[in-house]
Amino acid sequence: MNVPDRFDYIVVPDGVPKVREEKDTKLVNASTFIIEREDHTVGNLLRMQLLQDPRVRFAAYKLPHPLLPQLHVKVQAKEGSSPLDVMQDAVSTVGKEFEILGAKFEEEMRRKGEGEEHDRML
Amino acid sequence: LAPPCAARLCGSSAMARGSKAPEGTSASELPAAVARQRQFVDCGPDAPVNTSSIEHPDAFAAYGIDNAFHLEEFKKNMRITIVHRNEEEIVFDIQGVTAPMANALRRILLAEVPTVAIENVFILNNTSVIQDEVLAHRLGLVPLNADPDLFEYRRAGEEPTQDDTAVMRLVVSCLPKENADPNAPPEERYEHAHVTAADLEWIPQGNQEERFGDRPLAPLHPDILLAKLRPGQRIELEAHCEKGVGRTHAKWSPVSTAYYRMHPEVVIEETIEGESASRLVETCPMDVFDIEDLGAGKTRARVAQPRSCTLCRECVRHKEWRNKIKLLRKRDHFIFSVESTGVYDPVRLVRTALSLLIRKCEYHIDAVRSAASEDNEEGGAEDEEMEEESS
Repeated sequence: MNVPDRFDYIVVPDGVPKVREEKDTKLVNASTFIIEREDHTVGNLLRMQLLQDPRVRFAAYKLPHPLLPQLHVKVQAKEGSSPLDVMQDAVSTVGKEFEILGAKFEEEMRRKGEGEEHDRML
Repeated sequence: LAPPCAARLCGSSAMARGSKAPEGTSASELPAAVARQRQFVDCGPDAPVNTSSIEHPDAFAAYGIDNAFHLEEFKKNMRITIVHRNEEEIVFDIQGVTAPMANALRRILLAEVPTVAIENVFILNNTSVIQDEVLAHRLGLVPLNADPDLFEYRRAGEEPTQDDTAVMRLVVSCLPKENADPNAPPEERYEHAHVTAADLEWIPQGNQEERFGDRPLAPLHPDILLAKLRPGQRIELEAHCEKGVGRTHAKWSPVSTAYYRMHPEVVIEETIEGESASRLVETCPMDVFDIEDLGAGKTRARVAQPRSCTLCRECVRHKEWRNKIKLLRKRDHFIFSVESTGVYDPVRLVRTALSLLIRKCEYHIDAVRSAASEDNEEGGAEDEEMEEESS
C-alpha cells in the first residue's frame, strides 16, 4: 500500500532536474549538487575525482536518507574557480578515465587473440 | 632494519602518479613509512590500518612530489591483464585505478546491467505444499536465456506488450506411474514428482516467434528444482517475464557474483630462518611462503606467492612471527572476479558494464551543464528561493 512504484527509484520523474545546484549560504564559493536517482556508485567516484583537483578545497558526498533516492555532493572551490567548473571537469574526467579503461580492456582482449566472438549472448 | 622493499616502493610504476616534481623544486624521496602508507593498506594482525588513500594534490608538497591527478599519467600507468577466462567467468587485474573506480565497476556489474526474469505470476491452480508466493519467488529467481537488448522496460501500470513481456506457462500434474517399483524413490515412482525449470514452457506472443524463434526462451539451467509434488497435486500458472536491473531486485542481477580483492603484498621484515622458517611455510595454508636455501645448511623464509594470500592471518597469529611479517594490500591493484549466471558472456558483461558507466558519466556531464545554465539564467531569483528555503 505504501510501496512506491519501483521505477521511482531509477527513473527521474518529469519536471525534476537530474542535477540541481544549491549555493551554500554559509561558505564562500561552495555549493551542494543534488543528483537524483544516483548512489555511491557515482557519489564516491565524483568525490574522489574532486579531491584530486588542486582547485578544490572541500568535497564530500552523502545519501541524505535511505528512503530518498538522492545524492548530495558538496563542493567548495578555491578562489579563481567555481564549484560548477570543478564539478564539470570532474564528471568529464571520470568519463574519460572509464573510456581509457574500456580501450585498455579491448587492447588486452585483442592481445590475447580474442575479439568479437564474445559479443554473443549466452 | 630497513624493510627490503623500501627502494621499490618509491619507484614503483603503479603508484608513480605525481612522482615528478613541480617546476622549480627538486623531488626528494618520501620516507619509507610514508611511501608504504601511500602505496599499501596495512592489514594489521587484528584489523586494517590506513584504509583511506591520500588524494590531496599537495599532500607531498614538502617533498616536492606532485600528487595531483593527470589524465596522461593515468593513461600511461593504468593496466589491465586478463588472468583467466572461460564461458562462465573472467578473472582480470586492473592496476592504476582508485578504489572508487573499481567499486563503481563492481556495483554496475551487480546492479545495473539488465536481464530478463519472471516478474508476475498468475496462479490458476496450486495444490502443492509450496505456497503460492514461495513458488512465485522461486520462479523469479530462475535465470532465463532472453537477450535483454531485445526487450523494453515495462512501465508500471501499462498493459504488457510483445515488446516488453514474455509469457511462460507451467502446467504440471503429479500422477502415479504404472508398474513402478514400490521401493524406488518418489521421483521414479510418480510422474512429475519434481517440478523443475525444464517444465516451464514458452508461449510466444505477437512477433516474438520471429524475434527470438531461433533461440527460444527457456531457463538457462533446466534442472533447477521449483517444487515437489505427490499424486493428485497440480500446479497451473502463467508467468510474465520482464526486463529489469539488479538494483530493483537481485533476481535481475546478471552475475552470480562479481567481486574484487586487492593484490596482497607480504613482507618479511625480520629474517626468519631455519626451523622457524620451515614451520612458517607449513603454517600458511595458501603456500605464500617458501624456503630459500642459503647453502651451508642455512635456510631462510621468503615470500613466494603473495597473490595467493587470503588474509587468514595465520602467519601473524603466533608470537613467533607476529612482528616479523607485514600483511599489506596494494591500493591501486584490483583482482576482479566476474562470474556470469549465463545470460551474458563474461567478456560482454564487462564491456556492457563499462559502457553503462561511460554513458552514466556522459549523462551527468549534460545534467550538470543544465544545472549550470539554469543557475546562470535564474541568477538572483534562485538566491531568493534559497533564502526562503533556509529560513
